[in-house]
Amino acid sequence: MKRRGFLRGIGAGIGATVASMFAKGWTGRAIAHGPTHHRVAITDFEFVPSVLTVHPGHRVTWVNLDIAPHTATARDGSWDTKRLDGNHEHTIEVKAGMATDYYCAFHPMMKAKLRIVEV
Amino acid sequence: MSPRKALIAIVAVMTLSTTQIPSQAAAESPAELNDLQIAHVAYTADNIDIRYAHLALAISTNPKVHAFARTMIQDHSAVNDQALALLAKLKAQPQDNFLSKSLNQGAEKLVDEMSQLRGAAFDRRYAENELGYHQAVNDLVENSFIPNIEHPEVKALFEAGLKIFKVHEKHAEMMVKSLN
Repeated sequence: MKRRGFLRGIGAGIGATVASMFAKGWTGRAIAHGPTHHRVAITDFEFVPSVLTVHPGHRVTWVNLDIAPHTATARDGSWDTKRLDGNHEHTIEVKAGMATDYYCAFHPMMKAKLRIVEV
Repeated sequence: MSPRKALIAIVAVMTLSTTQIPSQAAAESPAELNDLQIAHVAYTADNIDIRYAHLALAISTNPKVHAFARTMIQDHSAVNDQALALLAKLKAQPQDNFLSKSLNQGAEKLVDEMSQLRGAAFDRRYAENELGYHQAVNDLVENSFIPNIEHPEVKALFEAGLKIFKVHEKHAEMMVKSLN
């Protein structure tokens, strides 16, 4: 987890992080860094993408672009990014059989899913 | 009187009693507030909700109420941190005003009232107030503040804050339903 400029992500023109992502081809979906590393943006109280297809061994990084703190927490509690403040991120390695449904523990209406495809 | 009606009544009374003081001396309706006064109102409103949340953590034993209250403390603190950082960057100070004072006076009364309640009675009162308070403040932010804020970065922060507070409103609505 690392702290970046705290005014990023507030809106158009302020979001240097977001601008950088667009410059790299961010389309609102997860980008694979090579074949194995994916990112999920937490923005405007949504996980983007809301369904991410991954394989065991892949890594998923959740980055919070909101002002409000969020988490990505397995519905059964078996994995958790813990609290992510604005412009903080956390990476978890995908394991076969791990829980796929997750939500934000602070804002329970925020829900998303990992679609784990065994190779 | 519901919190939403109470806030609207405060604003209406203050708006109607505007006759004697020159407009430059003090704003008397939300639409007349300048950016620094609006920032003060928002900071005050955030702190009031944080205060209600701490009261809930102290009195309630309901895990759902505790979870909601902790989220209110986290989110409103995060917005306030952003607001203070932006004001520091702009080398500006928030300005106290009639609406901030009215909000604080209303909060004092409500904290006194809620402090007397226990158990389910407290939980329901806290949840209903959270719903009404967020509805009223969101209406104020969306329809009176954002259209009148002049500085683009201040406006952007309020737009971001409004998204958060609308989520809180829905969350509070869910909590009210679950407690009834």
